[in-house]
Amino acid sequence: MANFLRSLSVGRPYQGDDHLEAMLSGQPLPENADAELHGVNELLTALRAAPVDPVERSGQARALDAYRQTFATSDPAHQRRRRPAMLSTLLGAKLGAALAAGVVGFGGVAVAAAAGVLPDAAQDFAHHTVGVVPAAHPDKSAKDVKTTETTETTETAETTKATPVGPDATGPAAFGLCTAWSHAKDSGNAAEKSIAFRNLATAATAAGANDVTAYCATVVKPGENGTNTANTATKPDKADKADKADKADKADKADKADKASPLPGAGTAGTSHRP
Amino acid sequence: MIGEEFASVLARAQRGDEAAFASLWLDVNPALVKYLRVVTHEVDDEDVAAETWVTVVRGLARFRGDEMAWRAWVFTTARRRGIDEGRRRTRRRTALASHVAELADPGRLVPPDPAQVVLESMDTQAALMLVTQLSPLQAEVIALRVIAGLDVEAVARLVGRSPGAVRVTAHRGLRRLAQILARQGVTL
Repeated sequence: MANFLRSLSVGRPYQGDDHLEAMLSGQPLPENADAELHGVNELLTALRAAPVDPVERSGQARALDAYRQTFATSDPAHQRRRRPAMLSTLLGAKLGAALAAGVVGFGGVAVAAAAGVLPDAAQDFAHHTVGVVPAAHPDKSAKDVKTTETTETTETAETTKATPVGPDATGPAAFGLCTAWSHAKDSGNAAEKSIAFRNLATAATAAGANDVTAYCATVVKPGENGTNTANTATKPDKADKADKADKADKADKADKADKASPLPGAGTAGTSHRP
Repeated sequence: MIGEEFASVLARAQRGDEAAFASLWLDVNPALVKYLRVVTHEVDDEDVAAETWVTVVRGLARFRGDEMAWRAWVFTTARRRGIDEGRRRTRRRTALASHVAELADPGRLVPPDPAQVVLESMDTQAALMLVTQLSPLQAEVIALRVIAGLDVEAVARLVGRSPGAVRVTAHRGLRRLAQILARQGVTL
């Protein structure tokens, strides 16, 4: 200590300067260094230690928010996180309208009863659909999401407008039900427990089909057989037939990807990549 | 420090990979907060750190350089962002006093004597307190070298001094720390 502290008062170069440099650079201090230096070195080690601080974690959220705002349009990871939420809502709304219309069409079953089954059915559908779509189109931009949104909204409007005239099992509601059913079926998720799906089975029987699959094979996508031309006045300009064809194509790809996906648990990806 | 992976992590963060950016943040932010604590003594060090990151994010896509340059850039941003030389001096004493008063709170287990704290458990807070007893320049230079992990040249550019002056300042700071420990009768 004597040499070390004396160098303080004299203010000239001290033979332990190399040791000081080593300490500053985080290199190990030689055993033969002055005792005081070991004490200071311990202090520096404590300075380097990273405390687990809750406040710093909130700082991370703020930093990531700033990052998202700046890189929102080019961040694939970010879009994978955001798309499911948006699609869930949209698809849920569409399916809800389709199911409600279907239940009314089948007659005698209260809409309130149908409302009780919507969350399960809608969620199944949304999960299976969005769990595949981002994987199949990892490079889609936010613009594509908007296109989908426009189309979905239009579909919902069409379906809702059709409700008063009581669309039957070959109407737009059946298409929505069939789509939901096909995804629920693929996952082996007890679709039969849903009233709406039971109604679908009933409609299939009434139509003389062997089973729901056979029945759904006969269901035409709404708007593609000219039966909904009365609703064209409500369509936004963008929602033309090209959009519909594109959407049908996407749905087809998504369906195939769902079945052919090599990823384990692809069917539940919609939930697994949520934080 | 991230090390060999740094270039690829940075590149991914610059392309919009959020996880890569989170890695960058995680690697630097603890040091950033501690550095700000040493040089500003502001209660809202975390706010200054957060503001720093907002600025860094804005310039991230244009940044070019290795990890040392990256760290130097982040700390330079922090310095510009939250540190005003005059403000820093006036706040130093009051902040330190309040910090000691806080430690003297009987509700706390930590004793008020910084050196005693060091003796019992050399935790980061205690070490930071000891460093704040140095002159502002000594404290900042040591924080930049030890906490930020910058080399002499980077620190020299950051504080606007020559490398030689930075070296001498750091050494004096370390000796002063040893003196404080010795005076307190602390043997480690």
